[in-house]
Amino acid sequence: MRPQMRGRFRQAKVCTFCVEPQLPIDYKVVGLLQKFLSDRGKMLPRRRTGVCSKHQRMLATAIKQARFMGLLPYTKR
Amino acid sequence: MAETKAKLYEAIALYHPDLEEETIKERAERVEQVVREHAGNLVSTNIWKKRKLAYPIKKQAEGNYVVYRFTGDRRLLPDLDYILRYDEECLRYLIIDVGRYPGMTRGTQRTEVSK
Repeated sequence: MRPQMRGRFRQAKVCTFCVEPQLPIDYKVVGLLQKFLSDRGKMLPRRRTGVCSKHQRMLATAIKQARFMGLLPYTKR
Repeated sequence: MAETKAKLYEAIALYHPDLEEETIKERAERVEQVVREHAGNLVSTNIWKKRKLAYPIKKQAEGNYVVYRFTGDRRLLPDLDYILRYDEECLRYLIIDVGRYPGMTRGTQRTEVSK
């Protein structure tokens, strides 16, 4: 079945990190982490991004490390 | 009694934006010295070019990042912590046990294989 429009978010089908095992989840790779943040700099929920719970946890730590080091904002504007 | 196992660590330090490249290198040498003293091995030192910070840290809007990767046992960490903590020009630092974050080593083997 194709992903459908359901509610406000299009459900992503599978976890990006399960599909591409070579993608690092590293606080230094800011460009990639940014894709999982809202434009206000908040972390996006799993239901929005389709990331599995295991990788969401890893992402959360990486984002928090990046924030601590001033690589990512805690909030924007 | 038990020998602690050598682990791979990563330390990232954020230095004051006004530091000259030379002074940063001196600091890097100091870190290397500490690692060596404890029979550790500095794997890499990566000096990033000056970067804008996402938010001001200690009133600075930019900073110089240096990423150190080294192996050694955990007994060297307090000494490393000490030199970074009491370095006035070091605005912030983070020391990480790379093995605890599997996301950081993802795909490293794969890229080697495909080459």
